[in-house]
Amino acid sequence: MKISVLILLTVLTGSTLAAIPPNVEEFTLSNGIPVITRTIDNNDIEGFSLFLIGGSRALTEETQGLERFALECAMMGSTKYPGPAWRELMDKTQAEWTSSFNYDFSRYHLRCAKDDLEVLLSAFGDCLLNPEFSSQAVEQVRESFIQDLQETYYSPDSWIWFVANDAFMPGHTYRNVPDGIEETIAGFTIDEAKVMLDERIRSGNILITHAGPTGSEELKEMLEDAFGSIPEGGQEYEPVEIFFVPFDTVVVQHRQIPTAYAVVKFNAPPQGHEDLLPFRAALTAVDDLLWQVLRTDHALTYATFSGTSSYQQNWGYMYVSSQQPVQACSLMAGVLADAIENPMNADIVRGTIEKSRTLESMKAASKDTQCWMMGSFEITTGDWRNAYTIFDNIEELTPEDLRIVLDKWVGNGGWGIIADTTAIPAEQLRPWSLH
Amino acid sequence: MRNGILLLILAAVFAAAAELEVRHLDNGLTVIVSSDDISPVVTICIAVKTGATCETPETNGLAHFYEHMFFKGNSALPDQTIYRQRMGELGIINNGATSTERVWYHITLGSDNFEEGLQFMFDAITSPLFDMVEMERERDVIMNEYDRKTSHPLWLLWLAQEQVIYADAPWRQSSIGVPEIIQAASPSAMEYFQEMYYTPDNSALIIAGDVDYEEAFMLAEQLFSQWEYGGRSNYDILPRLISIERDTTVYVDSPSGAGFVSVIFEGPSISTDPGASYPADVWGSYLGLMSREYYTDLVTNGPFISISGSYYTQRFSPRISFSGMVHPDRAEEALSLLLEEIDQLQSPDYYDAEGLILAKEELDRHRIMAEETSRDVAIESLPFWWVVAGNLEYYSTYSDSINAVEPEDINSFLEIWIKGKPHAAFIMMPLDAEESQQ
Repeated sequence: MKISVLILLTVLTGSTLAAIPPNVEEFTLSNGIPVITRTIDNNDIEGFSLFLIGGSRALTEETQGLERFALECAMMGSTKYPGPAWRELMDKTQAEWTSSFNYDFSRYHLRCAKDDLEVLLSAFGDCLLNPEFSSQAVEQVRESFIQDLQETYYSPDSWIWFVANDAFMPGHTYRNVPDGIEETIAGFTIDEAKVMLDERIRSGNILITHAGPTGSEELKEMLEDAFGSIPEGGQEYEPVEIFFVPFDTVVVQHRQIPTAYAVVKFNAPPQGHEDLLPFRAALTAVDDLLWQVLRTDHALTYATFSGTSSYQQNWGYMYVSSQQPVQACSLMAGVLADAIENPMNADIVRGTIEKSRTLESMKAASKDTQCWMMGSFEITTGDWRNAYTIFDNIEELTPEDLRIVLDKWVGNGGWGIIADTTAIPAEQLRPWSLH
Repeated sequence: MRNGILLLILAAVFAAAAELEVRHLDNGLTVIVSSDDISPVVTICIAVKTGATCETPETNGLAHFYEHMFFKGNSALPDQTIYRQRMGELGIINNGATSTERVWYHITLGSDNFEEGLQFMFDAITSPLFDMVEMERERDVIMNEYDRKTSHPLWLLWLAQEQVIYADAPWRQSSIGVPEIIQAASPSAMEYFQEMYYTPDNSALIIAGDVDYEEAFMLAEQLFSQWEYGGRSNYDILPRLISIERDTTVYVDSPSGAGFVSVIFEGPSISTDPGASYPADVWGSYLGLMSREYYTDLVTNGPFISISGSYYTQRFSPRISFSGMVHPDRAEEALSLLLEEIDQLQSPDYYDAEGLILAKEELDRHRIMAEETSRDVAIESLPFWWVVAGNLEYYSTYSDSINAVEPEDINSFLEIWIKGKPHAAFIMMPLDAEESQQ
């Protein structure tokens, strides 16, 4: 291993920013891949994440799902670990691999015992660089994807988010679905997958994060062995464009189901923006109000919630499922409109802040979450520390602060509704104004 | 509190499991504490031995209804406004869940509010109000939950399994219940469940997170010893539920177009035959190995997209399942191959020594992974094992028992539970209208 070329930066020990955890170090592999590692030694479980930066921007309408397809095929075996050997290794280590493919990046996360980290990283690196791509494995992956997509489409609870996208972000970069669509997945060839990997597995596209008991020196050696030979280079992408919804819009999809599903999306501050913390707090408080108004007071729903996304360009959202979607959506819009018009009850805001503190503390115990936080904030804001400092000022927020950011950012809404339009006339399912 | 006799310090006994201490209050409440200071939060969970399995056709869905009423108001926090305000003050993240064989409630909050959190849970478990106005509202909420379930891609499969495998009392396997019962639920029905099951001798209090053992036990005793002993629960004497008397094949429509095949056998109950559950787990873990015959025959070289074979540890409805996703056009072929494979795996030669060692190691690792955080310990691991096994002795000796499993134990398990035994097979694929009706 080329230790001499590794740059080790000890970032923080006893910083003035109390929220930033200690024992975090940053270094760079010989080919330029940045690594952020947090040593947590309360048990022998390791967390390791590899982020491939690009997401929707690395795709076109025709290649939606290709990166995911190529990576998942690669994870079926490699030159050094062909299919049977790879499966044998998975059996021996019982490693847990989870993959996610979102609008900004693809992420592979490994959860394993400390003793197995080295061999698993080595095998993972070989899969990325020298995938086997057996035709049998490729077809297995394809079939699995298509079944998953069919189930996503069939389940209104999953599909409603895509229906809302039709209203909120037509023509936007994020419409290139990282998971793919049935039509594109069905047509990808092995050669297309190979080309995609060749273009994308470049050091400039990759970020690695780690949380676990293995110390930084030992980790550096393992990572250099596994990923140090990934070619340099990578893609430069334009910043993601802002969402533009010229007027309140609704897209209704008919299905014969007993309860309707509705989601509305609206603009929110992007990652790193100073308004994001109060905006996020405001939508968390609105979440509390939705529960109170729609579920407790009016018994219109089992499930209603609101929140804010965590991408380079963000949206706020509200969700409800109800047998009475007209009334439920109208009330939901009214809750947000009222929060824009009048400062929320101080007790609700205080409760939101206290619950946020609990949630933030809970995240510290999971290495998966730590890896995700450091990586996603590094990618979307340029600094992983923001994952920890973003809540620094939450105690100072007032109801008026929350009202101001809602008023500033919430514009027109893009509504998606799945409902039985033979029971509820589609013309009643109009877009409800959020102001 | 009977400290001296029943104190168990389990940490050293089983390295694979979470560190914890268990004590019993005089009113029968089991108190379990697991300390972990990685993060300044604590999770408090109350697990109750109840659920759909305790229901009758006349009460199907009420264990779940009760769960909804748990966080709706009590003598200390009588209305929802005050209730939710208190949750905000304490920074409480809460939830509850009802399964067929257990119900559990949990809150997570900052450890500096631990004492207040205990009081919050004590009030909720001991003095729920079952206010009629709140019940009326919650009825509609639960109906919405019911309707959502019916839109799930696997809804028809679940219904078919209830009717075929649990034919004697399918309601005992249906936590959500039936609309007519949900619509008719009354405060007196809730009070029946409270008197019967919501008693300290039928419950466990689990505390996990940034707490001191002695302080946690002391506070738990101060509060929860006021909870009145019940002694009325019939949970431990309920009859076995699963019953498969003949080979059956059921076709289920797949509205999503996806294909799915499963074959189910009866399995050993943890309450009447706990010894059989260990080889059953090792065997299931062996089938999970992707390098062995089961996966290779059925997925790598077969029609399945995914495959599993497992034993589900339960008291009343323990089952052995073989199941996987398939292309719908190959579903019938897949079932045929799966049944052939099930014939083959009854032979001792099917299992190699190294694979059995891997299978045991997998079970140990799975447990470590499943208990990564104190919240995992409090709301996933301990409530399950305490309720299903009836105590924590099974949990505490699990690792040793698994490692003591020999090949002949697995043969014996296969002889008793699979060889020559009837099964129920389910093929989920798109059917035309006539086929669906049949």
